[in-house]
Amino acid sequence: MTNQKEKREKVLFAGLAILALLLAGFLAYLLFGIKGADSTSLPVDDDKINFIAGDTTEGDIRKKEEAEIVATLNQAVDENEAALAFSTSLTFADGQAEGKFIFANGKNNKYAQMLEIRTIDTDQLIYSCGVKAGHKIESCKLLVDLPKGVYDCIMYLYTVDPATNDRIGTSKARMVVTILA
Amino acid sequence: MKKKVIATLLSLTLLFATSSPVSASEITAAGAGTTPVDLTVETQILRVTIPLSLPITMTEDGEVMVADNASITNHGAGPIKITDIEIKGANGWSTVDYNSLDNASATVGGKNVGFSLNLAATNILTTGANTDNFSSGAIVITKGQSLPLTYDAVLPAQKDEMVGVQVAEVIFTIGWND
Repeated sequence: MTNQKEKREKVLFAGLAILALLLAGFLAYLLFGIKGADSTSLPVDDDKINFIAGDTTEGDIRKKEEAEIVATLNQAVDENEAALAFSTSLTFADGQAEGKFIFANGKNNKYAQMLEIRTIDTDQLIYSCGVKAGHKIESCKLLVDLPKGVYDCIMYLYTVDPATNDRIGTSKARMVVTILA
Repeated sequence: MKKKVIATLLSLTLLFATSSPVSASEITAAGAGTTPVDLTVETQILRVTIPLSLPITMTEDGEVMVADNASITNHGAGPIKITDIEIKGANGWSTVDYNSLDNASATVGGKNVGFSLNLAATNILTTGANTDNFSSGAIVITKGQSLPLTYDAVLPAQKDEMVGVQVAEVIFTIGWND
């Protein structure tokens, strides 16, 4: 009888001991386990990770301020404006004669202008010339001997980067070419 | 008699010497004349400053930012008119309907761009591949006027970094406001 009582007490004690251990483990998890999930608290063995000197700096990715970006964009607009001046009415004594045509590519412009004048009706190329920044045209001869008449035309202004010869933009202007005889 | 002849000659000389030389052709009636008004018009020069670049920046977060200082300025002899505006894709990019492209869901890396321009309260939007909704001759720039040009773009997020890649071109056709 006594043995059975002692046995029961031992089982109870063992059960209480297991519960105490579980409780202690749970408390330890609460205290240290969650904190341990934080990578900054992980033990880092510097000898095993190759921290490349110069490749890393402390801090988060730097975002440019909106004002900083817009200022850069505005500067690009300022630097790439084109001041152009040209006559829109060209008169020639005949299709082979030289006539007055004024075109100026402003001296402060960054790019050259490649001009092409084409008739609207037939898209015929009747004049073409490249003009560097700071240069001008004061007279020209047409590429083709147009018969007497009045021709509605479009002047295509192709903006060209003189360093690469790449075409970087296009503008157009309406003009009238008159051949008197 | 000789004195009378000399006196008459002197009188006539004095008369012609003091008379104003008036051309008969300038007299149309007694006491009236016409003065012609002759006009000489030198070659009229159209002077305009236009932007050659409308830059766009897409931030790390995919937000599109644009310049806010673009303008078209008329320095010429009289008012000018923008008779056409064309917006075309470039370098493998295509223009699409500005209102249809959704940056939040568009496939990353897609070469599509929707573009909008605003000039003098006229809003021009791309409506598809190389098409826009500009109606001809709507924008007049008076002599000496500088017209602000605002613009915007929508495009998909891009995986690859780009610097200064031309994705579209805007072609303005300009002429006198005649």
